[in-house]
Amino acid sequence: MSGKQYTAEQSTGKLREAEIQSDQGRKLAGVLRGAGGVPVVFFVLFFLYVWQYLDPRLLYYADRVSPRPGYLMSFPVFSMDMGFFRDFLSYPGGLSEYASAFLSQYYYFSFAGALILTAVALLSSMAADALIKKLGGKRSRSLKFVPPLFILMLFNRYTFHLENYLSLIAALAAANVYLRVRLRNPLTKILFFFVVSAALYYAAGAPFFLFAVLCTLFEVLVNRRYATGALYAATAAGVPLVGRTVFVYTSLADCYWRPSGLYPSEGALETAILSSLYLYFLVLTGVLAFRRGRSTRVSGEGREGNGGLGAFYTLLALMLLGIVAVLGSRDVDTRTLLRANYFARTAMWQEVLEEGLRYPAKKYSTYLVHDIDRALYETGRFGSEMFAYPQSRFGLLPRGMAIVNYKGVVETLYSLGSINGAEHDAHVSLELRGDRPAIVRHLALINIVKKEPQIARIYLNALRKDPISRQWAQDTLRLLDADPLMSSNEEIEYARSLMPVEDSLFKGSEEILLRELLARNDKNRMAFEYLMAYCLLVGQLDRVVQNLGLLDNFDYQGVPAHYGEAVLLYSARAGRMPDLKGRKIDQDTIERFNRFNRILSDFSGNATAAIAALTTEMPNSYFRYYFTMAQSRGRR
Amino acid sequence: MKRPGSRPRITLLSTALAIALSCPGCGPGNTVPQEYLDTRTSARISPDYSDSVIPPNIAPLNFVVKEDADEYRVRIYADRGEEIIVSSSTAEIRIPLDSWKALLSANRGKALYFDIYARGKDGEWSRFDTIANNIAEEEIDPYLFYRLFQALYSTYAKMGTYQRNIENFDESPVILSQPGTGRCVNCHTFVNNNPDKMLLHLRGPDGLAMLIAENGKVTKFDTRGRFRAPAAYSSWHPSGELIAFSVNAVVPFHHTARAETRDVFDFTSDVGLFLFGSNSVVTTDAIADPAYLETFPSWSPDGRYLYFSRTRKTWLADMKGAAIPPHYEDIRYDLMRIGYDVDTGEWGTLEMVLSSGATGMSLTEPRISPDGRFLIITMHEYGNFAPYLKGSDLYMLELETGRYWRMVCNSDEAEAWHSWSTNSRWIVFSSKRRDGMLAKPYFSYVDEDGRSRKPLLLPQEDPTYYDSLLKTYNLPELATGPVSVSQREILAGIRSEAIRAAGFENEQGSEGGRPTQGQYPGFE
Repeated sequence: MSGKQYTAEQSTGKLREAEIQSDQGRKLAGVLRGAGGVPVVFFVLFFLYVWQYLDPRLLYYADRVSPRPGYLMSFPVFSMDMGFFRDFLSYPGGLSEYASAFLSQYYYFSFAGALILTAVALLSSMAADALIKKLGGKRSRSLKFVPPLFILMLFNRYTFHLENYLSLIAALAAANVYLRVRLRNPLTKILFFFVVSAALYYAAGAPFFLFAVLCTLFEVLVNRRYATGALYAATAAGVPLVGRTVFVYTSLADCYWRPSGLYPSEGALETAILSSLYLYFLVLTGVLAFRRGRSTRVSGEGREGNGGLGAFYTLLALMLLGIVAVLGSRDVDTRTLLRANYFARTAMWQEVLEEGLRYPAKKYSTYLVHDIDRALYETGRFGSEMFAYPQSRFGLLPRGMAIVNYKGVVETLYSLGSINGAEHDAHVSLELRGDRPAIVRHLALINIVKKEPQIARIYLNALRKDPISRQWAQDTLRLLDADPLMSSNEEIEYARSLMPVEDSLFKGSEEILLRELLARNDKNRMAFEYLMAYCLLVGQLDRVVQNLGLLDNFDYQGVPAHYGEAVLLYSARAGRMPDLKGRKIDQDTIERFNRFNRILSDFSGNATAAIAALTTEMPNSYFRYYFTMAQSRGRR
Repeated sequence: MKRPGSRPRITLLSTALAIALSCPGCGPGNTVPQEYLDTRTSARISPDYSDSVIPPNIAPLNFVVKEDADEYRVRIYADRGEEIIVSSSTAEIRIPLDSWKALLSANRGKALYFDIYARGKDGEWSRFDTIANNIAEEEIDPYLFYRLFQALYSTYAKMGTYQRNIENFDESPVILSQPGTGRCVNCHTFVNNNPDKMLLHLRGPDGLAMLIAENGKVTKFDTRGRFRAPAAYSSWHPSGELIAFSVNAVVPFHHTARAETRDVFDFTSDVGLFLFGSNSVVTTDAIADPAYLETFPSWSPDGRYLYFSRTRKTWLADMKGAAIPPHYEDIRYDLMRIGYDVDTGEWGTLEMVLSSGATGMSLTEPRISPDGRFLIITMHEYGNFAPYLKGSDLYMLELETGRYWRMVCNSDEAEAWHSWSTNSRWIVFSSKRRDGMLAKPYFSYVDEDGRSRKPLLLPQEDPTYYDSLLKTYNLPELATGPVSVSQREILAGIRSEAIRAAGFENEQGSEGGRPTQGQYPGFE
């Protein structure tokens, strides 16, 4: 026996001390158990945090949201259709992805989403606990809380890709089964391993390697069957190669990685956390198996003593570490962005603007600009507050393939009255991103507006296979049954009143599109405000002035502030005030214009200083935007 | 015959007799009701399988009864053979394959009847008017090839070429273009409907090439040399020794208010031949005239004539920077043909077969029946892309007399992409009649006089299949069997090094080649 040598008295004292500590530990643990147990408290808190703070429904709407340059989030589509299911059978891990796609739809209900995600964490914990127990680590059982903490850190980064976790849990479950199954004949056990490997690889994909490596560790470190271990390790490396030959369209990289989630494209931090989770299971199993193997050899007893105060302190330390890790891994900006996106998708426009103000201006993408512009229009503040937010002409009404990333473009075009434009963009989106219910829903509406109920029905029938949208689809089908053209529906009729009736060819210019829509219906306020916004953004002061006459078609009180600013800039350049037909520019705008002139005069010849002063004194003004843009153009 | 609304008195004896006479092995549920209300109306069924001529080797025509009821029974019968009774608690009527095949086989050339019964919420049965179809004597080629993809606009991500055994419901992919690969494999074409020799076109990062699948091997050819653009619409010479193809500079554009948003304009196009023996591309002024657009080549079954569509290029002066000429709606194609001797490689005289001036419409997609007697052509208001033109219809041209007529199988929506069965008695074509947007394959019988019949939609095991399918069937082609190459072999061919047509480098760099540099900007 090695280590310190004690006298009999010392030993007795130590034993007594250990008994006392153990007794205290049991009492403390008993208190916790009496209160429902640590796991219950832990997972209830876990659930509440995911539900109330992380809010899984943010993910439901987050496909193609870009929280950082070069990274676009993705969210799975799902359909209760056999053809859809069959696609998942054609590659390893497809079943896991199918189940994940189905469950992910319930993120739509934040409560249900939080339940699913908590269940994932719980299962990972149970799998870890079962491994620990089997490998005799009774005193280490508090380590079962480590996987949920890793998972919570990942959730904090808004990477709720269920397939990563389902596959991982499947691999852990299979490993637990392997460790427990009693097959006396080693060959039978090897055969069992191969059968489980094949089934697991097909169902769960690449995370199967975790199962194979855990079995390898068990065989080598506990059973000391080195040949079997080598065979298993070779299997871990070789099965994906076999998969590559079986699954025609699966790349070698996918055979080895999908759907482990260990792709660097998800973000370095997220990949590092997920990799650590895998590593954790390997290390945990390795250490416990090694200890068990050693203690079995020394004493024939492979089990640790019962937990005591030490176990309690371990638990406490883990909790503290967990709290630090979870708080430290929060991604507040991504949450703000996702909330803004969620509010935009659910037409909660005031909230979109509130989140927009919270989001750092430097991180603004044109995707967010698009939603902010829409929210400004919907809240009646487009003409007066649009420059309180970062702006880009490319975010106003984006066209081309990039529209797939702009969640609201189809909706914006539809609301503007460009029904064919919306249809075009919806189809591009559908092709590139799959049959997303929001887009399919738009296509149904678009075809109802176009008086093509037969086409609308196909989209609605497809939507009936979506677990979330099916009720809406069924209700709309009933409305179509009763009135195939839905002529009594005011919203549909309004959209029809905006829709061009004389055919022409799309020119690709936002301005031409908006002018054509106004030519169709000069009461189309949205087209008017978007046109004015476009003219402001590109600095076409003369066009802003020309379009002022259209103000009479709407119920504006006076001249909206940004239009007034443009008029004043125009008058300064033209040397005359345009005819405002009785409308007046408000006094605040005129005073701001005077201040603007003073700043320019004060910093004459130093544009950078002038821009800095304008940014400080009138950050939300069109004067500031225009001057900055003019300087930028001048520099170019 | 029962009076409307009357309830026939059925005795216990006759009921027992009816049960006894029903098909052996069928339980009481598989008899038709003996007591019912005769509605004297036709049941609405979907797909509409009524008053058609059906191939004797077609898969069961499963359908949905579009009448509200709690239970349905359908009795399917003909002159000979055992009748089939389908009982269903839903409106979906799925007919057993073996019984169906036996019934059709025993009744070639005869009528086939469907009696539909429906039990209402009150528990009473109603019987609708008998639906009749005729079973043709002649079989249709048993395999159908098509591409399936979304209603494409400006891009594609996922599509597939499939083969379907139309004698049952087996469908399998020939080749899939997976998202993220940027690959498009298209325009499957066969020699005389024989799938042992197939052409596919390839676009994407693996090249702009022609794939020839034959005897389990796929060879990749790069035919761009002379034209600087890959082959598009193609037609095998019946000998299998050469392929006629067009190269097209396609400009897609979109409408702001038309129901069909999409449209296509060919800025230029030419026709050439790829000769396998010499691995070379040849053409002649008559089919690659810079003053004209030539497209949609199609060989006559005897291989002596090459038919194609042609229009004069009149708009260059009108473009003024626009992508589409202002009078694009006035562009109409004529139907032409030119003789060709496959042995000597000599071209014959160019002839006008049918002019757009005579028809008032644009003439595209000529396909001649294997017996050489008839030519089906698509006619539409303008341009060359029938699927996007609502009024496009199939017309039959009798080659001997020059008579042509609008075929009965047309609808108010777009019809296009027709293909003949080897016995010249059947055609398949794609039609948007079901919804106006997504094309589906329809079969129509063509009699000895070239008269078509009401077409029938490709049957599916699940009769509601098309109701929610957000995909379009493109280029349906009939063939006598499945392809002889696997997906893996095609993928290997795609990834292989392309064999360049002879003179490729010289012609790529040549200024003298026709058409001139820049004519096919999308492919340079």
